[in-house]
Amino acid sequence: MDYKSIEEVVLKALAAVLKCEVTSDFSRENTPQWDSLKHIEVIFTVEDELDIQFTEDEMGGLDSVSSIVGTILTRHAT
Amino acid sequence: MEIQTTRYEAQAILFSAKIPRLALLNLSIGKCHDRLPTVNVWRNHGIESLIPLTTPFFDYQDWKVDFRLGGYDDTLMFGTWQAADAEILWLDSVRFLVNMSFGEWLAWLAQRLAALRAVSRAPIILATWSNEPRGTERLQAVADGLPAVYFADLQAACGEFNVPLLDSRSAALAGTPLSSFAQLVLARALACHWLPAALSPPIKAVALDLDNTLHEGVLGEDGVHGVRLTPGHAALQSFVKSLRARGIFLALVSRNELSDVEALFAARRDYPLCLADFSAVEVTWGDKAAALSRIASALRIAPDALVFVDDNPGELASVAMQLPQVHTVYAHPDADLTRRVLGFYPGLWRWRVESEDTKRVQDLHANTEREALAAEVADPADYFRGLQVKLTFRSDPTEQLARLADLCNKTNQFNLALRRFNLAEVAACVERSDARVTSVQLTDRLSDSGVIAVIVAMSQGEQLVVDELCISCRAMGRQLEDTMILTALQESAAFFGHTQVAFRVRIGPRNQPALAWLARLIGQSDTPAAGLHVLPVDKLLEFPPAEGVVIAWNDQ
Repeated sequence: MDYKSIEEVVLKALAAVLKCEVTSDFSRENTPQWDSLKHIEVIFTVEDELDIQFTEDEMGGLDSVSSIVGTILTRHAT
Repeated sequence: MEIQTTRYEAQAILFSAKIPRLALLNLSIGKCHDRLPTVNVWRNHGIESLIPLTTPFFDYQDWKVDFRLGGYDDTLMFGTWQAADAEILWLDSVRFLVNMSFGEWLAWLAQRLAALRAVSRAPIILATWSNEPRGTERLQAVADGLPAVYFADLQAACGEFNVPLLDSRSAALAGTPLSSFAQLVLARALACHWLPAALSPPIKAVALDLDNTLHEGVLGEDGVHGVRLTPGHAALQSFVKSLRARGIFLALVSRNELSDVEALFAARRDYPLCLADFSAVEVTWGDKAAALSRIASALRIAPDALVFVDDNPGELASVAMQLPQVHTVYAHPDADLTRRVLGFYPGLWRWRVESEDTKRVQDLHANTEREALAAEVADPADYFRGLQVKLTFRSDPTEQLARLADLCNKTNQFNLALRRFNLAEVAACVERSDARVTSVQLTDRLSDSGVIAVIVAMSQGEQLVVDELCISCRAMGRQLEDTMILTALQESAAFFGHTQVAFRVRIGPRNQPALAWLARLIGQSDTPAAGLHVLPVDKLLEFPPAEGVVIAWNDQ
């Protein structure tokens, strides 16, 4: 999968969980409603859609759309 | 129509074997919420991430649930308790077992459940799991120790779909050790099995179309040996047959020639279902809504206790428009999906199968023979003697609480006060020294109809106030109403030494038979008004029980 198609999945997951329109510059820092509870829902939704499972170490760093997409791309690359 | 179509389309997501989380979150079903239950949640781990997943399942059944979440509390103090329709104990058992043994935890849990039961009359769902040997049975025993307490085994619910219950990754972020897959499976179980089974009257019958529902193909075109029993259809038929064994009526509603349908079931030995499994058969070229009305009437059930399954959305829409109370399910080409829709259909699943449930199906078949005998015998006493009719009365029967609550909540026609006591409230009446709960069981040589009436009477001053009076529709029309009610009240009035009986009346949409019975008893030509209607106990004592009926008290 390429960056764009992964990003599309992440944005869909984020929009479904946060119930709002989202953009690719969304991060936990600039989005107050993206709290820890919503975060696990987003992560689980992305995992479900892409049939992957993040490690506990990876989960700590998934705090923006770009970092989630980047982590998935890195996995695909290795 | 549009909302119904959306519901049918949603079935593929809601009831898939592996629930797609994103599709579930994006699902939008018409929000005509006609039921708004409140649920208190007492917990020591997170449920917040599971609640949004329940919403589409509740939308599917037109419910909007208000979950009231307390803070995490390992001590279960219930300090902020307010009345609610249901209570959930959402407990991570592992947290408790760090500091105490399993046996100590169970003893403490029983004590906390008793404390909650003392303040709440709502059903209580104990949602947890155990990894201890025989832990599940012991948790079940704790739940069974109190009325209207149900054990929801989270481990077993996940095991059914082969998904892991726990995931260590989620504990830190979500405050719960439940895995992503477990959350999906448990959201569905909570919304479709556990809460409806605790809060709703049960579904009592499933009416099924034949072609492209119970098999693949069209009987009239493909012929008896041309229609196909796929593995999915075989599994669906086996599941449907298992419902019958649990006391749920089956009915067949098909546009076909009856002779073709009879030939099909006679020839196809590979079919798990046989024609005799259906308590009502409507094979006609006429309107299916009219057929379903006749089925509800024949089975003596209300239309809202019936689920209709058909592969034709047009038929379903027509039924939904003409009989909006009837539940409708779209039969998918994938019969495994149809089986799961039925398996999760709210109100069909039971916490436990009561012996009364299984009697219902066989008792209906005996009615045909009873009606034939009644037509032959002119003298009612001869009729009762011929059938060996026996009424068994029991006072404050603690072993029948679930059945009595079911009668209070499902009886619409012969229900005088419509108090709708739930299981915990019936249990409280049984415990009260100033109340008398009497059950009536009806048997004859053809079948055991089971417990078919309940009378709850309260001692208030000089009066015995009849607060709840219900007779099941399966016992109506057998000319036994006077004997059942007045025999019970004679005993209760004598027990308390009252001189007056006051019948509480509430006017409902369908309780005319009960109102007409009371009008006749008190010698009134009009329908009795809402409120209390007083009768001297002397009048009760003048009443003789029906001749030819055997009367027994407390299993004599």
